[in-house]
Amino acid sequence: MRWLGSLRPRLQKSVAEHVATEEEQQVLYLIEFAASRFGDPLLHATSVDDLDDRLDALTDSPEALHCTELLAPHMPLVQASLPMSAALLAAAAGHRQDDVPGQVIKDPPRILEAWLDAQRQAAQLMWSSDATRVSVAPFAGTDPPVEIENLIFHGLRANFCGLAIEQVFSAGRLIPVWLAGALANRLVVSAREHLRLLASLPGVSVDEAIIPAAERLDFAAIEARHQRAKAASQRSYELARERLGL
Amino acid sequence: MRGATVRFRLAGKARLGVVIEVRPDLVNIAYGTSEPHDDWPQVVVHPETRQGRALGLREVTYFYGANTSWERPEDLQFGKTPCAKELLYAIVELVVNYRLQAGDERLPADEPAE
Repeated sequence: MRWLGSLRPRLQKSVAEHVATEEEQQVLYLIEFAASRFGDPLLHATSVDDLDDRLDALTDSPEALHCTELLAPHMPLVQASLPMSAALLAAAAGHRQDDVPGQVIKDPPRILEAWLDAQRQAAQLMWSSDATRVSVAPFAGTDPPVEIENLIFHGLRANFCGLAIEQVFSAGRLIPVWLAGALANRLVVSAREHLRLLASLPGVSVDEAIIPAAERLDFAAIEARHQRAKAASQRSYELARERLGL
Repeated sequence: MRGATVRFRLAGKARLGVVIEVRPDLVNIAYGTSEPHDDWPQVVVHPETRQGRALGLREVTYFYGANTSWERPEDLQFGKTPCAKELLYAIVELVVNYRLQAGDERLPADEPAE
């Protein structure tokens, strides 16, 4: 998302001038699809509850995963572009800390910068040289522990909010103040949560002043706990089947 | 179906809950109660919140880790609106914590906590 803000107009210009490579055209189509599929619906939210319902529905969309997979081979092109400023993103989206009672997020631009940088590091680790590394990422398969599932949800939510904000920039459109504030708050809150996951990945470096060691995840402990929980669930299920005569 | 809001009967009482796990023949439901137990780990949902509206609540509702039940899908009445993701994860985490603490001594049973 960080790179899309500056890459998209550059690619649009190249395509318009008929100098874009085939890869640049493909990436532009993907960016425009993602922005339209995931950003636009959020800009039509009629209330905060409606926005949250839309965000929940988008996180269930298999297209989000497909888009990420399709963009993955093009990461060198995407990352070669100048990043969008996280400070600009937060400020232009009208972020105000007092919009979310009880949630105090310190220094949103710094969190967003760290989150965007951590995503870049994670993408490089997973896709740059050895594609098999994706499969060894912690809990890359289905059925992740709920702690991980929750943080992945926040990662998607933050990216969708970012895409919606990027659509606002790109089209120069106006959105209601409440919507700008709600998008920006969800972007920052969810980026902070997702950053806990990214900061815990081996090979990804995040300043401890932003995500302290105590907030990082112990994947081995989580996996052990997950297996115990699955075993307990299985026993409970078998007892229920017995009781119901199944 | 995971995350669906449901209504069903358990031990003669009408219950509302959230599907937290799906198996081929049964689904596991975390159900709410109006009975407060201040010292129990809990997730509280107020009727005027987005989550409360999705569940169709009329009063403050408490979810506890022990309050789960395996039910046949055909015995459930499914709600139109799914449970909010953040609430779903909070409830699943509550249930997981309960099961891990209970260990082998007390498996999650279909016994209302109130």
